[in-house]
Amino acid sequence: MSQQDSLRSLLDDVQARSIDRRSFIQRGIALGLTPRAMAMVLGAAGVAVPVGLAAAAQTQGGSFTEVLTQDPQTLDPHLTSDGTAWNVFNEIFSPLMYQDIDFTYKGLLAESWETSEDSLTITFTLREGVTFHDGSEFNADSVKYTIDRLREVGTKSPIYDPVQTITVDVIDPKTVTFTFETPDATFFNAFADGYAGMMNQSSVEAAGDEFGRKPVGSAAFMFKEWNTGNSVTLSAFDNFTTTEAYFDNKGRPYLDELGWKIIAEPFAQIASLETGEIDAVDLSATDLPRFENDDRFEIFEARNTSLGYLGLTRTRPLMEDVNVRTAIAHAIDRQEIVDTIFTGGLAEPVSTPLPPSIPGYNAELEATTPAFDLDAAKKLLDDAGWVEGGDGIREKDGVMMQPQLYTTTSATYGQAATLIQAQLRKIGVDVVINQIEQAALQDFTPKGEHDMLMYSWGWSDPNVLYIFLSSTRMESSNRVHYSNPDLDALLVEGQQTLDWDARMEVYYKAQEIIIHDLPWVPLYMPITKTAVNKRIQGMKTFPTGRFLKNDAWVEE
Amino acid sequence: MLAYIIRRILQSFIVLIGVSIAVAAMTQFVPGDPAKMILGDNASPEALEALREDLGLNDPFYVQYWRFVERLVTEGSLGKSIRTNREVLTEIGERFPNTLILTLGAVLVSSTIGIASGVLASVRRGKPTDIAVLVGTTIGLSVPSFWVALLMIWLFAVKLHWLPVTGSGSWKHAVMPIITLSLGAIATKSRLTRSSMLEVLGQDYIRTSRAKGLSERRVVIRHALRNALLPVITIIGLQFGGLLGGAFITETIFSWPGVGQLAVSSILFRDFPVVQGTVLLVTVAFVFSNLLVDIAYAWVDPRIRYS
Repeated sequence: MSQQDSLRSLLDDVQARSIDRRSFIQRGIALGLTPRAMAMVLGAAGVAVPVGLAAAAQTQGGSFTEVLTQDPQTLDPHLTSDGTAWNVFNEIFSPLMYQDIDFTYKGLLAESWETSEDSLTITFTLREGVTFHDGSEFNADSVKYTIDRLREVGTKSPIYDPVQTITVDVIDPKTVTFTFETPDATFFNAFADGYAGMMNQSSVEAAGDEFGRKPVGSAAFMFKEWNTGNSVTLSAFDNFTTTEAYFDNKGRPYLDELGWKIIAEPFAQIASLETGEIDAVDLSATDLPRFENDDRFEIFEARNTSLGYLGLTRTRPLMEDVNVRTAIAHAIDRQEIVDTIFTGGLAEPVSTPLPPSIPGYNAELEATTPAFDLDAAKKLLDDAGWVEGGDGIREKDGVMMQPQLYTTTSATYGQAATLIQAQLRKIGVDVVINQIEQAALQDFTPKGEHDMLMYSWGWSDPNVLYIFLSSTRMESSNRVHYSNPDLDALLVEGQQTLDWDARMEVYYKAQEIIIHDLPWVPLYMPITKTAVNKRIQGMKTFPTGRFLKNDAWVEE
Repeated sequence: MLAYIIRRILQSFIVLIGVSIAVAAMTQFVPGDPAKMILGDNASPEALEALREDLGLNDPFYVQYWRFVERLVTEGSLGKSIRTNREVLTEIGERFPNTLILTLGAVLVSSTIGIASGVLASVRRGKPTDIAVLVGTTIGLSVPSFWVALLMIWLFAVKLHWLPVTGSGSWKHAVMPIITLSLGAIATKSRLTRSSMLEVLGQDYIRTSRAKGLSERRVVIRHALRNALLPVITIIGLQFGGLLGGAFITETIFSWPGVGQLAVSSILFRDFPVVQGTVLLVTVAFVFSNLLVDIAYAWVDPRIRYS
């Protein structure tokens, strides 16, 4: 038998499951396969990599410890929208599908799905042989239970809204249908996430009120320990099989443990990174240069699905004229903001309503946005009847151009506001800055008493435009009091168009309207730079920054 | 004495009721909506309304307060945390022992070092020891504890690797937080002990004891110190409350899982039941420590009688 034939027959045996682990390893070694290659053979055959073999392939063992700035609220995904908690429970719970690194959606606990002609029914075929951490089996009942429970107890969940109009029916143990009242294009984004992670009725009921402290899911890591205010630890799930396609390791993680230390102070975080108490920290502009030149650490870079913007409240007398808003947009020098405040490349200038990190971004729209041009800005204001007074501040009909800008007490926003103030002063606009605490600001903006707002949002789907600019959100997230029936209609269309390309076209059109009306002057997209201790090898990241841990291992 | 203690405890209840009403009223007027804080930007108006209803935030202030009192009396519960859904008492109960370790540790450390250095300075008045203590206490009082904490982290954790940067669980974790918390208190107690000692050492009965031929050690420890301690004990009691407050900052720096850390995050998040619980806890601790001080007076100075 040639070596190739031997390999072929070995593969066949693996696929037929007619070979035990020991003889596989013996034959693999005889063929000159490295342990890693053997793991890949198994992975390619869709076989869970046996624990012992994975250990031989990379190095199994050790832990990866990250940092949280505060205690998770709870580890029950249905009871919170807390981003801190998400970091942890997203490693414990697997959803039906996941978003791949090319932003498309693929099956995880679901093997595949079909969407009905009218887009109102999705039929999921579930993967077989998946177990929860407590050994119970995942099946169609788990899916129905999860969605029903979410609908019932999920008032604090970010997917409480969409789940209200979904009906789940069990067809057979490996088939479920989701029926919608209206087509929902945001469904995949919302449900391809730990917030929609699957749970099992018996596991939840066994934990009682303490499920949020002792969660049971089916993802690569299982809950181990939570020392309140101190640390959270997960351990590898030996029977893990449902891994995303972007991993080479298709089975149990190489890492034995995944940990988080709760450290609020940035200085203490950096010190803990130095001492090796934690393995990764997001760097500030101050710490960045030092760590970039330190070969104990590798710097991971990620574009945030986030936009910093200057909001202009169109319902306020000073901001009602589109020419005034356009003039302000012309006077903003984004590059200066980025270079001054986000030194070390911690942000990129963005002029379109959707930043490049979010589907729906369109580079061609950039040319249609008001470019930095002080002369154009001044001319627009002159034409609009705002003329410079003796002190260089423009006025019209006895009213001074002194817009009230509001922002939070964040140092970054404060600096950005100050820079914007200086930039707008050059065209005779005298911005007055008000900084109030975040929770208070969120209560203040619905009143509509601010002319300008320095703020940002974070969201990974273009539906973000609905959340922040739809006229149905005046009381909450539409902080700039923008209302435009044309845009409203487009944003609803975007929510209901399931075809990817057609949906993106809708958002291109929506952005054209926003670029013209300027409820926001987009400013920047933050970049996260994370220092990771080099003892951690093979770590992957999602384009938007999340660590993908299944290939990671520890080199001692 | 017993009647006095009972009366004092009854009085403390009135203080607690007053404080709880004040906190409950404050939560009504502080801007910020817990529902928005929890749900974030994606929440529809309907979802926000559903959650407000769920949390009972739509009821008028007196209804909410009455519900709080009712639950406290009938179930012995301070309600559930808005953020975590757990009993406020559980949340606080998990953390209070940690805060107590810091606070009592700081009381112990600051009293020992403070009193000892104060006595030393008073008996060596005007000598190099006195001047060294003076300089030390001046530094202790004027240097911000936050800054000392950062320096200690840099030196003992990052450079020397003697102590862990943050966390809890072993005596090593407690060293830096306790020192940070003690610094100011050491200085205050040292200064106070010194001046009080100097006053006592000038008294006639001290001269008498010396004339009797008692050893200097005995004069200072048995006769002078006991009398000089009275104002120091007052300060220890008062500082206990201050240390609880200071522990809030220290806990944040060192990520020490105490009540302070909980209080700070609850305030930022408008988790009112937890804010209410932590404020009540601190009030109880404050009232109780003052009571202990008053009782300690009687022990130190038998001339003090309560009625």
